[in-house]
Amino acid sequence: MSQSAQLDSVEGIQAILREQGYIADLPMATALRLVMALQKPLLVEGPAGVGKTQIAKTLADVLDTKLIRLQCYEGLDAATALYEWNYPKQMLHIRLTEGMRTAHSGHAANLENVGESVKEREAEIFSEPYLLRRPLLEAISQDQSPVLLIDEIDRADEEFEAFLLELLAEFQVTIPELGTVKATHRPYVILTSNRSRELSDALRRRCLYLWQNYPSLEKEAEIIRARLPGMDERLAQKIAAVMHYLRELPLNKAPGVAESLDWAQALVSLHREALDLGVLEATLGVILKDREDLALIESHKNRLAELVA
Amino acid sequence: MSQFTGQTLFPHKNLSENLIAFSNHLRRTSQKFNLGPQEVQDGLRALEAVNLASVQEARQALKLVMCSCPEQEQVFDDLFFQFFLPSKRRSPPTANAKKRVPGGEGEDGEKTHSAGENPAGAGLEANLGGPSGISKTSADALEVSGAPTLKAMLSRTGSDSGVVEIVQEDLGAMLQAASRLIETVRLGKSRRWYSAAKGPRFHFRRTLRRGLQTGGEFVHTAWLAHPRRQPRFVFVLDGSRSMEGYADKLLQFAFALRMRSARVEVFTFSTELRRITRELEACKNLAGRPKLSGLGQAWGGGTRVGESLYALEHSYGGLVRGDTVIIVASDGLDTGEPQVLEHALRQLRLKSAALVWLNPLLEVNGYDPRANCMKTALPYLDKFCSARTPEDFAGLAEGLRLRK
Repeated sequence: MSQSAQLDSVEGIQAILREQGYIADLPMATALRLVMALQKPLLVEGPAGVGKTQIAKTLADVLDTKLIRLQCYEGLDAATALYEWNYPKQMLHIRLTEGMRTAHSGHAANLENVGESVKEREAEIFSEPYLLRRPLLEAISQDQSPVLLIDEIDRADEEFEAFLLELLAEFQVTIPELGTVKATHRPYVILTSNRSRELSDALRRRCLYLWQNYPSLEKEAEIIRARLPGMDERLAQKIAAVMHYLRELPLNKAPGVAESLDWAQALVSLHREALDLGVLEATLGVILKDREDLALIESHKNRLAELVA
Repeated sequence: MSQFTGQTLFPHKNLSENLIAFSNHLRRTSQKFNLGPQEVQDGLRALEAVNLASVQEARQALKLVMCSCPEQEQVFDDLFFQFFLPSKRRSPPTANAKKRVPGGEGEDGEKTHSAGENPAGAGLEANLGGPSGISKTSADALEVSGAPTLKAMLSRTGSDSGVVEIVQEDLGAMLQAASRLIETVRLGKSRRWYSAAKGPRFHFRRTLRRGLQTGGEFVHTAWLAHPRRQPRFVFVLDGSRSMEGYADKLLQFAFALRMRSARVEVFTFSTELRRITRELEACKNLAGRPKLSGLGQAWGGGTRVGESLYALEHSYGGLVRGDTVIIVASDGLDTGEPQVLEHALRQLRLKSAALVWLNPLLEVNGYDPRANCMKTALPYLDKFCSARTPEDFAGLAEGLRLRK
C-alpha cells in the first residue's frame, strides 16, 4: 500500500509512524487523521513534557513537509508573528531616491509632481521586496501545505489569541498596505498549551481538541525502544517504571518523556545494560533538575532500589 | 467489535440524526458542551474520515471534534457509551477514581483533581521525613475504604445535587469593590510594546509613516514603551460546612471579580478542589438567579485545606504565575496533615506575586490563628486578614507588597 493510501486510515497512520520510530496511540493517530481530513487546527493540551510539540514534528515527518514553528511568549505581537516591514531598507531607499530626484530636477519640482512622487514612493517601499515574512505569513505562502506549530499559545496575550482567529478560521491575513493574503495551500496547524491560562472559547471552537497525558508504562517502554532500537526490553521497562514512580512523587519538576529518552540515551552511552541504584544515583541529574527534588528522592531510595532490581 | 453504523445500537435511524441527538444530549450536561451546527457538521465529516466499523475510532473522532477542554474530555467516553451503547454502559466515574482507561484500549488515564485522593500517590504513603515530610492521613485511609458514605454524612447537601446560589444583594457594590481591587494591584512592566509619547524604543513603522509627509525627513518621531502588567487573580474559596455564613459573600465577591476581569480563576473546595471559573462565566448574563450546581464534594462537607491547595498547585500550577495574586478564603480548620499544607503553600508562594489569606474567624473575639493550621500557613502569607463588606474587599491590596 502506498504511503498516501496509508494516510487515509488511522491504522495506516499508526503503521507509518511506527516505521519512523514514533509510537502513536489511537487518540493521537485519529487526531492526525482528522487534521489532514478536516483541515482544522489541532489544539493539544497536557502537562509539560508529554510530547505535545513532538506531534507537529511527527506530522511534518510523515507528510514530508516543512515545519514552521511560532514560539509564543508574553508580549508576542502581530509584527513578530506575521510580518514586518524592513525599515532600514525602506529608509535607505527613501534616502537614495530622494538624492536622485533632487539631482535630476535640480531644484524644487512643481507641487503636483511631488504629490504623485510621494504616492509612488510609498507604494514602492510597501511592496514585496520590503516585506519581512514571519512564521504565520510564511505558513500561508508555501507551495506545499506545511505544518505550522504554534507552541505554548497560553503564554501569548489574549489580544494575540484574538488576532489568530482570522488566520485559523479563514487561513488568510490582511496586510493594510498590500491587501488580503489567502493561503494557496492550507497549512496543518498544531497549537499546544500547558494551560497556564484559559484559552478563549472562540479559539477552542475553531480547533480539534486533544488532551495528551503522560504515556502508560507499556507505551513509554515502547517509545524508548522505538527511539533506541538496540536497548534491552527489560531495561526499557525498568526506565519506564522508575519514571512513572517519580511522576507520582510531589516533585517541583516532574520528568517528561524527553527525560526518559535522555536517560535511556545516557545509559546507552555509558554502556550500562542493567540498572541498579548506583547507576541511578550517578545519572539522576539527567532526570531531575531541581535541588529540592533531588533531596526528596533520598527518602525514596528503598522503593527505587526495588524498581531497578 | 461493534459496528458503529448498526441501527440496533442507536436511537435514531440514520447517522446524522443520531449525531444531532447526541449533540443535544451533550449540551444538556453539566460540562455544557458548546456545540453548534458547525461542530455537528464537523462530527459527520470526522466520522467519514475514520473507520466507522470501529466504535473506538468513531468515539475518538467525535471526542476530538466535540470536546474543547479537559473537563469535557474526561467525561466524554462515559457520555458516548451512555448514549450509543447503554447496554455496555460503564460504571460512572467516582470522585475518588484516580485513573481511568476509556474504552479499555490502552489510552492513558487522566487524574481527577481530587483533593481527597492522596495527592502525592505512592510518595506520600510512607512517612517521609524528607523535605516535604508528608504522610498519608487517616482520613485518606477512610477515603479509600468508605469515604463516599462518610462524605455524604458530612456534607451539607448530602449528595452531588447541591445548588449554590450567588446572592444578588449588594452585587453592585461588590462589582465596584472588585474593580477597585483590580486597579489598586500595581505590577511591574509587561514585556510587550505599545505606542507611546515617550519610550525606550523607536517606533520605526510610525516614524517612517510620518517621515513620508516630510519628504523622508524624520522630524516627528514615534516611540514604543512597555505597558504595566495586568494582574491575574486565583481565588480559592473554602465552601466547607464550617464556612457557612461566610461563604456566600465570598462567592459573591469571587463572581464579581470574574465579572470584572477575564484574568480571574476561581476554585472552591471542601474535601475536593473544583474549578468553577467556567460556571461563573456562564452566570455572567445574570439571567434569572445565578447559581452553581453539581459542586459535589467541593461544597458543604469537611475541610481539606492542605490537600486542596496541593491539588491546586499540582493540577493547575500553570495558572499561578509571577503576575498572579492568590486569595485563599478559609477558616483554616483543616483536618489534613500540616505538612501537605506547608508544601503546597511553599510552592504557591514561590510562583505567585502575592499570597493573601482571608479568614473570617479573625472577626471572632479571642481567635488565635496559632491554634490550628493557620500556624503552618502564616509564614508563607503576604497578607492575613478578614473581609466581609465590599469596602473590605476593595482594600485587600492596600499595604500588600508584591514580590514580583
